[in-house]
This record gives sequence, structure tokens and C-alpha cells, in this order.
Amino acid sequence: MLMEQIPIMEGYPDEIIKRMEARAIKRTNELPEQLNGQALELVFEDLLLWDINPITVSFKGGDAGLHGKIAEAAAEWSKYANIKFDFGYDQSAQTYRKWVPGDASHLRVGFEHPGYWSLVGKDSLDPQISPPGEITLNLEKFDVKLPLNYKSIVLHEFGHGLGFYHEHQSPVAHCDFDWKAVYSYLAGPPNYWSKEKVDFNLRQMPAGGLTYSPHDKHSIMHYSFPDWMFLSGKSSECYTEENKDLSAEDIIMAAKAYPFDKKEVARLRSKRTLQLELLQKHLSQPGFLKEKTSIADQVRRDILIASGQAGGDPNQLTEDMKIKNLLPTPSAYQFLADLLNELVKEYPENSEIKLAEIEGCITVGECIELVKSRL
Amino acid sequence: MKLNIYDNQLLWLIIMIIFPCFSIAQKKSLPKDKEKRMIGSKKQPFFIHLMDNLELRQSFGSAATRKEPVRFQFTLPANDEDSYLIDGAVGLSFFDSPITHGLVMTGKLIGEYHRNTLVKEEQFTWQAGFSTNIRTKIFRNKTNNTYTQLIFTPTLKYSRNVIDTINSFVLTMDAIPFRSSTKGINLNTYTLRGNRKLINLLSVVPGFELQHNYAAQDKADNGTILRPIVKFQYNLGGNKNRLPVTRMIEPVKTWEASVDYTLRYAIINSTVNKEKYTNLLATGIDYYFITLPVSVSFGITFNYGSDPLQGLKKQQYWLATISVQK
Repeated sequence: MLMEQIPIMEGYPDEIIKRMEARAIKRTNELPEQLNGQALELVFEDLLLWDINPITVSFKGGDAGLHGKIAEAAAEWSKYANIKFDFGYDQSAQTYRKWVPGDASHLRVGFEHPGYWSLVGKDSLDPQISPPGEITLNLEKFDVKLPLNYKSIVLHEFGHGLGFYHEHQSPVAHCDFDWKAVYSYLAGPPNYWSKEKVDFNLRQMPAGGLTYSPHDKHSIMHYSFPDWMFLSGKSSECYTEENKDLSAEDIIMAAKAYPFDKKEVARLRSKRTLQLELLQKHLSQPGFLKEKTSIADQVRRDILIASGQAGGDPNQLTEDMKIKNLLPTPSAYQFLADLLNELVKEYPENSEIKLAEIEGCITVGECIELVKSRL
Repeated sequence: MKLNIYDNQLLWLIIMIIFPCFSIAQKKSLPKDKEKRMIGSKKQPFFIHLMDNLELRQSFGSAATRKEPVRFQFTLPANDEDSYLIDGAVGLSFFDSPITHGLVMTGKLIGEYHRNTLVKEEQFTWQAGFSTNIRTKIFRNKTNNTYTQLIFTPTLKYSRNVIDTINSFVLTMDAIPFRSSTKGINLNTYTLRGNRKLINLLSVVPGFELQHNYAAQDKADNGTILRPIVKFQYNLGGNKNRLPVTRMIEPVKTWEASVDYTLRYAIINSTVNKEKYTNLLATGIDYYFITLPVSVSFGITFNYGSDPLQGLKKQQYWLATISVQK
């Protein structure tokens, strides 16, 4: 029966799609088409990639056994990309990080929503799209029954979590969807998708903002559609059996997005910092740009760690607060110098902080200025 | 007490070095000088570079765990001999570089001067040598809420105990653990939990001292002593900052109680002295009258025990101090 061949499609909940559309309108209204000579889409797509490593992950529901299987499957990406997932594994209790109300983990995995889906990259941090506590990666009913193909589903969804889009929506993919049939079939059970939702999830993406490889139908990010969804059936260049592992092209693109070469990492981060600064000049409510840890916040966080208040709220650390009150010992000063040195070394050129310079900082504000002067 | 000319000349030499440096160091920390500090590591005149790399401490024996300033006390009784206490050390950093992956080393030349004629058993020792600081990279746990680092401080110096006329070469090393976490007790930095009304500071440092005495006036003092050592320091303070509550993230002490205990045990001792266990206890309480713009505190300290490396003989005494710090 045809109905039996209609799979549960991967697609965002309507609410998230609405938020994304609202954000897109806001960006169009507030921003110029180009920033510093670079197409705006390209800037935003690039900023979806993480410059935090590791990415923290929490689980809403499920048990440690399930969490372990998901963690193990997702870790495959880290073999080829210089990025790790931190699942908060507690060796003594043998548990993984559990979701809490207002959870601010970078990726928040849930099992209660319909379908399998994930926000793309740092959209998970954008409060306009996914406020703290909301699920950012959904694996429907994994906690009830784990599908046989769970590893490929996890790889696919965590691929989105890393910032990768669907391969079948690639600007160079020529998928000859039978749109009339697709709209009609997906409008019915079990998906009940509107035309807009079909377009949002299946239509080819414009080339403007994306870094893409040649169309790779063996990519883990390529969906396996039934042949009836294509005009040319099984001979369509987008028809494929379910992909279970990372393809050779996936591995190349993952290493390109998250390079192991330190200089390249530094170059990318430096570029993104500049892009963020340019964007912040234009945006009144910068969304995830505001949420992204700024240099000042990172310095505040490092000062708190050195002062023995690792869990403290950096926002409470005002610029007039005295460093000598916060750091009680010379080894605390040295520790802060080493932390800040790690921070500035993520950026190219002039990247060094000396202990004597930290000892010369009187206030938190001076310390922030010192670090900024090295970037 | 009789001192030879050489020792007195050295005292004045060190005072002449310490006090200009101290005044320059104070000047260096003025806010107006901020821009100068910002370019601290760039090419700059030798004298400025020298001043940037000078440190003043009470002693480098505890340089990584305490920020105690140079101590200088002087009494001038009308009908008696002058008496004074000087505890000072000056260090000049000249090396700061990674040595292997995950290990960074700094090196400095140090000079120390410890003289106390206020007490019954006078103390007079000076030392000069080379001190290094080798520290590991920062370790983080999987959940990124516990940070640790280990610092080693191998130090080689010449030491002269003027009172007993003993010359020594001394090799010391402390292993200083630094820990900052959201849970448990932190080491060598504050532990502020709950409402942050109480400020805790704990330091536990194991180490050793290897002292080789030679050319002592009393030949019986010649020989080698190896002492494992444990230093324990705990400070409990009250946080002056209360309102708004968010302000309590900056700990400002209004009072402080402290216990500072050092235990040494001579496992090897080829001298004829009977040194085995020695300990040094300093416990005290301070009250801060003023915290801004300078902090002014009054404190009473009880000191008991000995420090064989710095020539402090076993005794006990009380010390009342008024401290003014910028």
C-alpha cells in the first residue's frame, strides 16, 4: 500500500519554523545585504558553526543505557572533525547530563516531540529560535523503543547539531521531486504537512550562504526518500537507500568545518569575531550573537574560575570590581594568566598574556581591556 | 650580638634595592599607567622591563600561596639598643616559556633577607639563588566544572645564617595544587559557597628541603639535612559586601582568622644537631577598619616554633600589627 510507504518525515515543529521566519524577516529589515563585502547569508551560515569545544549535551528523558548508545553513535563525528560532544558522563554514578528546567546546554536532546529533527549548529543557542530549556534535537520515542537504524539517525541529527544542512537540499543537488505528489501525500497522515512546511524542509537551498561539496547522495545528511517521490523513480540522482555511515565527502566536509590545524582554527575564530562585531553594530537585538559568549564574558568567566567561583554568573562581575579582592594568591593570578593565555591563543598574532600584565590589572574592566588589546 | 662588616654592608645593599623597587612597584600600579602595562611584553626600555619583572615578597618560600608584603618593623627605645624586624625578598623574573607540551617554566633570580632582633632568639639569615616555577597545563573534567593545575617550585640558593655562622647550599621544592570547582573545597583560591558570607581559603602544600651546610664556625654544624615538609594554611574571613546580593561575588574581607602551620621532619641529618621534627605555627586574627581606597587592618598573631632554613630558632611570641595596603 502506498500509505505504508510514506515515512515519518523529518521536519521542525511549526512553532520553530515560525520563529525562523520571523528572524529572517527581522534580519532582512535590520541588516544590509552585505557585511564588509561578504554576502549576509554566508556570514550567518558560517556563524552557525561552533567555536566552543566541547559542545555540551543534555538529555530530557531516557535512561543512562540509551544516553550511552546515543553518545557512542554521535562520537563518530569527533573522529573526523575537531569538535567533541560533552555528554556530562559521571563515571562514578555512570550517568549522563540530565536536562533541567531552563537548561542551557548547547544541545538538548529530547524524545517527546513528533519526528526526528535538530536545529542547525548554533541556532540551538539562539533564544529567538530555541529559548533555554527547549529541546533542540528530537529523537521521537527513542526512550520507548530504540529503532534498529538508531545509529544512522543519531549521526544525521547530530550532524545538524554541528551545523550541517540536508544534502538533498544542497544548491547543487538536482532532486526531481514529483512536487504535486509530494504535497498531496505529505498533507495526509502521518505527517499532515502544509505546502509551506514541505517547501521549508525539502526545497533546494540557495547557493548564497552555503559552503557545499558536490552533491553526495551517500552522505549521512542525505535523506532516503521512497522512489515514488521522484519523477524518475529509482533512477533519480537523489534516490538512495538509507545511508548508515559517514560518507567520504562527509568526512572531508566535517574536517573542513572543524579543522584540526590550530592556525586554521585561529583564523576561523578571528574571522567570526570580526563578523560578530560588524553584526552587532547593526542589530538592535542580536539574538544568538548576544547569546554567544563575548570576549568580555569569557574574561569574566575566567576571572571567576581563578577566584574559586567557577559556577558564578559572569554578569554579576562588574567592571569596577577589584582583581586583588578576587584573587587571593599568586598561584590564582598565575592560573588566571594561563586561562587568559589559552583564550588569546585562539586568535592569531600578538596572542600572549603575561603574568606581570595580569598583576598590573587593578579592576575587572582593565583585565578585559588587556585581553581585547591582544586580539 | 656582633656582626661582621660584610653582613652589615649586605643589609644596606638589600635595603637600597628593596625600597626604590617598592616605590616603583607602587607607582606602576597606578591606573594612569594602564597603557604602559598593556604593552608590557612589547619591546621597551631596559629599566622599565626590569621594573616590570621585579617582585617583592616576604619570602619566596611561600611565593605561590601567599601574597604577603615585605615586613619591616623598627623600635628606637631611648635608653636601650635599637631593635627591628625585616622579612623581605626580591625576585627578578627572566624566563617564562613552555618547556614541553603541557609544561611551562618560569625562572627568577631571588634574594631574601630575614632579620629579627625583636625576639629573644635573634634571627639573621640572607639567601640568594635561582628559583623556578614549573606548572602543568590546566586540566578540566568532562563536565568543565572542575579546573586543576599543579605547580612545582624547585629552588637552588646559597644561604648564610649569620647568627650561627653557617653557610649552606639549599635545594627546595614545593608541589602546589591549584583547584577551582563548583563543588568541594578549592585549593589556593577562595571557596565561596551558598550565600558567600564566609570566605574560605585553604592551601596544603607538600615539599622537601635539602640543606648542605659547609664552612660552619662550629664544625659540628657541617653536614646534610633532608627534610620532607608539609605546609598547611587556612583562612576564614567575613565578606563585607552584602547588598546588593550580587555584589557578594567580589569578596571583601571585614575580618579574618588564619592558621598557618608548617611541619618538617629531618629524615636525613648528618650534622650533630638533634633536629628531627620541627614545626612553625602562626595563628592570628585581623580586623579591617577601612577597605577603600586603602585597606587598614589591625591584627594580632601568635607565633610558635622554628624555621631552621631561615635561622628562626624555636620560640614563641605575639605580634600586633597595623597593616596598610593599597
